[in-house]
Amino acid sequence: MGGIDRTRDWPKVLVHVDMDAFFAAFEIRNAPQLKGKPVIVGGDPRYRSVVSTCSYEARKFGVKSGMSMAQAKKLCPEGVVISGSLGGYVYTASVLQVIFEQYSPIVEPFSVDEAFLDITGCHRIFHSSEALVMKMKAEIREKLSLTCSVGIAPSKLIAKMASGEKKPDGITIMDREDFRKAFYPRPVSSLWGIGEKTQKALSKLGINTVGELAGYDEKVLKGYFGVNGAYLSRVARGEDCSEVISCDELPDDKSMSHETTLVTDLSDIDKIYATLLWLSDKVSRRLRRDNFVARTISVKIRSSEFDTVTRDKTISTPTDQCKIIFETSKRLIPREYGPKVKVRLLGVKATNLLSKTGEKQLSLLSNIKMDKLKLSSNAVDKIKNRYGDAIVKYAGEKM
Amino acid sequence: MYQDMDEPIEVVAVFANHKMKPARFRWNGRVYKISEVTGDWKTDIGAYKVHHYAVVDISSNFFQLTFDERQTSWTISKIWVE
Repeated sequence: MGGIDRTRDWPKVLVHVDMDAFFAAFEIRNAPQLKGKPVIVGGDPRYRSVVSTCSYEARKFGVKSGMSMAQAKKLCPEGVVISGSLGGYVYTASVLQVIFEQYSPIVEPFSVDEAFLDITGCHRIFHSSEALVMKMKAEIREKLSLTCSVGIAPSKLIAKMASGEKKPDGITIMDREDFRKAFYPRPVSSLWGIGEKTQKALSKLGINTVGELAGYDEKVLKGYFGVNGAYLSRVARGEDCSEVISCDELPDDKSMSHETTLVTDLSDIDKIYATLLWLSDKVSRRLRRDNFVARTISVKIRSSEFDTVTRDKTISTPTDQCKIIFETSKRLIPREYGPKVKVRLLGVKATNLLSKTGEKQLSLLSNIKMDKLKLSSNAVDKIKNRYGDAIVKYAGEKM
Repeated sequence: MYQDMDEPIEVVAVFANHKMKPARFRWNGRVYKISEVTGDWKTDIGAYKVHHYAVVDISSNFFQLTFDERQTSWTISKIWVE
């Protein structure tokens, strides 16, 4: 810590914090007898479910996030499956946010277990970036008994890549030169945001490593991949000028949606509608809570054969009412779904959102029926806010 | 593996450093002395908080205890069975 601060002359010092196997680490911390065992967090393997995350011990067997639980159990029969405590993860993420904010005023939560911090300037208070990060890691360990891996870099992209270098519980300082040295020989899939499809497409061009991608003519890449071509080229060179944006500055939600994978494939149209009503209620509650009305309602429906259809409708009067969202989404479900095509997944989305500050104008369109609907929704919201969502349900809603 | 349950228990708790910490509990007539609170978190049910505690007793058994503010009641919500 007393050495030279490598980040001293960087114009920006950005940090990416990645909690180590977060959900699994949370469960192992709570139940110490799980230490050293392959822990898999996800749904019940008796039903259709996927792996949310797993401990490093389970990863050695090839278990990965997103894999079906049945496959994970095949690869790792000794794995201890835990259904997880979503409430506990969300609470812990909120504690982490409070800790992060003590080290930087600019914190961007990236997911429940990842965040970016802009520590430019703050690092001088702690004498060096590394000292700041070590103190922050120690505080996380002391308050939550959890570890994280951290990347310190002049850009978000490199910070994100660096945090994965020394897992678990590591700190990696990486400038652009370090990035080139470390990543140029690696396959393109090691880059942030490059998935299997892009990897295959790049491979057809003879591009297999990050270095080959970085050296490829950007214009040719643009020709093949459109605007994404320029992005790929920049990412491979480690060029990224994006800023860390704190929660307060993040733009308002442009859409609100809820979807669910059904426990079993459904052909009963009444059960499909019951699920749709439940999803519509969740979306409408969020709209009312955040003072939005939606102009466009969409449904997403996936068949048991994995065919996914999305349909939307723009309505004449923007709404935050469950009844209208439900009736609209009901009409959007293709007729063959249910009786002929079994349904695996359903989703309801509200887009084209307007702030309710413009509602005075909308009220010109309202009628007594709508006013009654709004009054009853507000009353139900008040009850749910006090006693929880389970206290009042629509008749026919998914139980 | 975990076994979910929802059984009422009696708890002796310590209030210190602005925190509540269960110290021992009685379940089915037997008293369990808590040696460590390994994790704690809160969830909301409407306007009320539910406090969750992952605890280990002096015999190294694992339990998850829950305190419901609305009901002012403690329950045992999970145990670990081999």
